[in-house]
Amino acid sequence: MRYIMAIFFFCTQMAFAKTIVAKINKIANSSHPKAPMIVTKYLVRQKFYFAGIPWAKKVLLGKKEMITSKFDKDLDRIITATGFASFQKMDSKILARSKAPAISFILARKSFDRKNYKTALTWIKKIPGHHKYYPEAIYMKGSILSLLGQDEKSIEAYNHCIEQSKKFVSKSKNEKVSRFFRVIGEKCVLNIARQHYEKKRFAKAIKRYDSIPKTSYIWPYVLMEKSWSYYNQKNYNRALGVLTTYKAPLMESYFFPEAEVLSGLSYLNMCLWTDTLTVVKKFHKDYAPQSKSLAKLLRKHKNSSDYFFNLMFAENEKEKSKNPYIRKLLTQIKKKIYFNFQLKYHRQSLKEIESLKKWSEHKFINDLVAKVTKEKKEVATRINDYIKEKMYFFINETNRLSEEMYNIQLELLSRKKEIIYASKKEIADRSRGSFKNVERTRFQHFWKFKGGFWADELGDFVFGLESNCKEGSNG
Amino acid sequence: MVRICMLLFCLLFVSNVFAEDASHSKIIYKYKKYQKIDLGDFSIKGKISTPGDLTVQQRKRKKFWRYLYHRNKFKKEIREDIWDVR
Repeated sequence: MRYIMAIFFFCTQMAFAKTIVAKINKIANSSHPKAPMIVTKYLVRQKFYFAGIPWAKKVLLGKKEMITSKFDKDLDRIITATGFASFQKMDSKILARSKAPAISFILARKSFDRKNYKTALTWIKKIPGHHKYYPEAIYMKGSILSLLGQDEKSIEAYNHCIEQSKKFVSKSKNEKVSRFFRVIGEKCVLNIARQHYEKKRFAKAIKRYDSIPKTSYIWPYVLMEKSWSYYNQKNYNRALGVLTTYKAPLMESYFFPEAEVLSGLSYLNMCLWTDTLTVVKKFHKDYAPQSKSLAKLLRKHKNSSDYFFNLMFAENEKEKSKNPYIRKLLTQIKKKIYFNFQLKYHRQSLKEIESLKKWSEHKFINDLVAKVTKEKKEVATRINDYIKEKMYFFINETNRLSEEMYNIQLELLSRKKEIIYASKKEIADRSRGSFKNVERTRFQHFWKFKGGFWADELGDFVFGLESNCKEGSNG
Repeated sequence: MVRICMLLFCLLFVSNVFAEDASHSKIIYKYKKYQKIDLGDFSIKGKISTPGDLTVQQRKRKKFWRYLYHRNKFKKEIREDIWDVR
């Protein structure tokens, strides 16, 4: 009986699918002005969001009367499910015909990209508080106000962003979605800290940096900025301690050339010449060859639209093992929100192709499959370009900071020369350091981490080195 | 009268010249053939106005300003972080 029921259900489904496909095909081929809107509606109902993209674009390009509030809702669902990259390329005037909040977000982003900040703010205002893009929009608002130099207003926006993110975290049922909103909130906290840093309120900045949990995806990036705050407070021991965290095995995939420069500067300001020189030499020894081999790889595949995409998915294990920095860089990229979003879209487009193929073999469906395949390829190209961009960024950053390292080396020589000419000698001997050299606030204690997880101490290291800068006279 | 005066003057001048010439002929200079001078025996009285030892004063050294990397803001990161979301 069960088998008969299953066969009956399957046959009904097939018959129903065929009817729907035939119906959509008929509408799609008609010259009726409402045809693209109706096809979009059908596809959205069937959750074929990628297949709906070209039809939704047709509606936007057609008569203005066709852009109804119902279409706006469908368009919003398409953009939320497939990302806004496909629509971002369209002309702003065409996009502005729709009142969908997702379209307002796209227009805000387009204005932001062009540094047209005031226009971006007007588009952000149009996004309702309940919309999925709202926390992100407020985050963008705060960033715009920061870039415009409006200190108080930006902090106000960031605080609102933190509040809204928490609200969305508690509302979301999906773990990945709630993690996304948590990261948005943390990014807002990070920007408040940056705002304090810029205004030289370093203690407040450190307090904000500390409020970002160690489990956060952005935490490794926070460490370097926090050590800059300690550096500016002339607390070089803490700056060096925080940077030591990058040497932990757990942080192996995170490497920042700037962290090495900051270490070098901290040692230099403590007049610990040998340590400074060690950092400088290590930088040139480690980073320069890796950067060169990475540049070679990039030059070789710069015109490929899928090499880095494939590299990410372990199809080029040989290339990965050749350069450990490539592997580490790829691990870093894998944790980026942008990458994860694009990857999600890529997987969804694949699923959609499979579902469409299963649905019917009708010519209309085959056309849709071709269109979704094209969208899938575009997503893959975006991922490929993103990885390439990050790799180029690393190379440029290494080259730029390599020059800074030479400056540190020159400054080191000049300071040493001054000591010799002034017939002075350094007072401290470089040793392992002492507790007496550690500056502490009333909230900071020496903790033994007995019974704690070994990684608990990450980010809380501090050096106890004595500054060598108080010179004595020679002899 | 004038002529008498002129004659008297001439006579006076001529007698002086002859007198000088007579005294010159009487001086005879004689030098020692051997003379010993003890330099260690000399002593000079007075005050020393310059330092006795050699000193070199350090000149004011020109300090060259070198730009060292520093972070004043994170504006670039604030902007780029937006692109890292979507």
